[in-house]
Amino acid sequence: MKRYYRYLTIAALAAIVAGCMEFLAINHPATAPVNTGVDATFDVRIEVNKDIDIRTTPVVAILAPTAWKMAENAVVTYTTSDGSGTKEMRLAVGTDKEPKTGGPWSAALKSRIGLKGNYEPVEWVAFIATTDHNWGPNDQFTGTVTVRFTTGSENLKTNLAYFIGNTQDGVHDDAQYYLLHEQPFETTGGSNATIDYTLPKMCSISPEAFTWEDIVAIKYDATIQVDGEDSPLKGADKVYLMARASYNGETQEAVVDEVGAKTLMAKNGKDKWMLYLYPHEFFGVPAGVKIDNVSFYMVNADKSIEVKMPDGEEFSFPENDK
Amino acid sequence: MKTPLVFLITALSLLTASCTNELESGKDYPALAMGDKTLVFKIDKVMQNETDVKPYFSFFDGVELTLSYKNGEPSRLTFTQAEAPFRVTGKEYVDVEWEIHTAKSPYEIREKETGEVICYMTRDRLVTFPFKLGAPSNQYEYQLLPVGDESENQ
Repeated sequence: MKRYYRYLTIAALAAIVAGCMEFLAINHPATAPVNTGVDATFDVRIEVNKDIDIRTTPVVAILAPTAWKMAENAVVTYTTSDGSGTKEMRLAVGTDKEPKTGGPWSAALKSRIGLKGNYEPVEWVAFIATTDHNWGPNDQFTGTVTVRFTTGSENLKTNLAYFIGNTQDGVHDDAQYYLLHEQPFETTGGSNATIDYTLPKMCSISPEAFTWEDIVAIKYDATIQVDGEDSPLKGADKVYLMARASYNGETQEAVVDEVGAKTLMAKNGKDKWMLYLYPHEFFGVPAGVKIDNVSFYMVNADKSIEVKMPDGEEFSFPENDK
Repeated sequence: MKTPLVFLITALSLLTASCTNELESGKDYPALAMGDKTLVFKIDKVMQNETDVKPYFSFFDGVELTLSYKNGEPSRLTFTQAEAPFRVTGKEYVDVEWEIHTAKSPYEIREKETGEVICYMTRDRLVTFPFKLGAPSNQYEYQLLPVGDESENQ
């Protein structure tokens, strides 16, 4: 019985700091040129629904490509309807401990929220308010968080993410203790072929610039883990490529799903595989007929094991005809 | 004493000139081969940028270039690419008259009737067909070398 009350007390304490938080509006571009300043704003409403007697310090964190060096170039400010004006936020440093893990904020965000479908180097960078607020019980207010950053030099496609919380609750198990916004984002105008951070790199197409009129190599790296799990075909003796092509304005489809010499991938290193193909010949699509899309997945010899995207979809790469 | 020296220099000059003439006349150069000959070229490499992709496909095995000579002059040309799933020339060349232009290297092999450049040839008997397929930045090239014995035309 004592244990029951203790759990009840812990739960009640956990709820003390919690408030009702919601986004009222988000103003964030979906694309921006490379090497360009971007302003993102987040209008939020916060209601402190329990009596608190401790100060509350806002935290804003951004998940972005490591190459953008957010810690160096991002500027985060916020205003609130309590009339305290525009407040600055500083970069979280090693001594700023996230309360749930006792470690750095960046590590806590990575381990508890994840990297939001990015498979290239990204990082969480946290900013902490330089002002404590004496928000009291049942206080309600609105605010606007402004994040200004500069994009990097490369064309890329990524999933940005924004965390808005406070130093007391940290990266709580319960998502109602913070706000999280995911923002698909693409940079354009650079000289490189677009790097898609959102595609698992267990598969890739070579050359990087290609259309389905090119000779291409489809590559599969079974050493790449997804969500901490080994690829199901790691250690396989033979791997086969199953593929489909849509063509003629996506009105027709060709499927190659046989297990045989045609689809047998060649070893390209330990647990690495590749198959060169000329799509028109591979799918039997006549020359002069545009192949619109190709998707594929890998199987073992008896097709009992399939390797697809984490969401179960087949791998698919857009043409990159630079 | 001076006379032998002058003689030696003259002899060396003549020898050098002789070598040059021989190279230009193409004694060992298939594009300018002497006599009546037929040379068959097969694909050695298919370059995609810096990568040779020929080992991954069998359909390049049937690509073949035939150059024939009559009286030491370019005569007939046939380029067979039927087994390949794409064409690297604007049209088919079957038993057409050809000629070689040596103003710049690599030399240009052209269709005599139209003047169209069909392919290129270097001094080491490498015949090349540059071509494009999909993305503009990808450079492709057939590289062909002569195979078998050079046959004397009947």
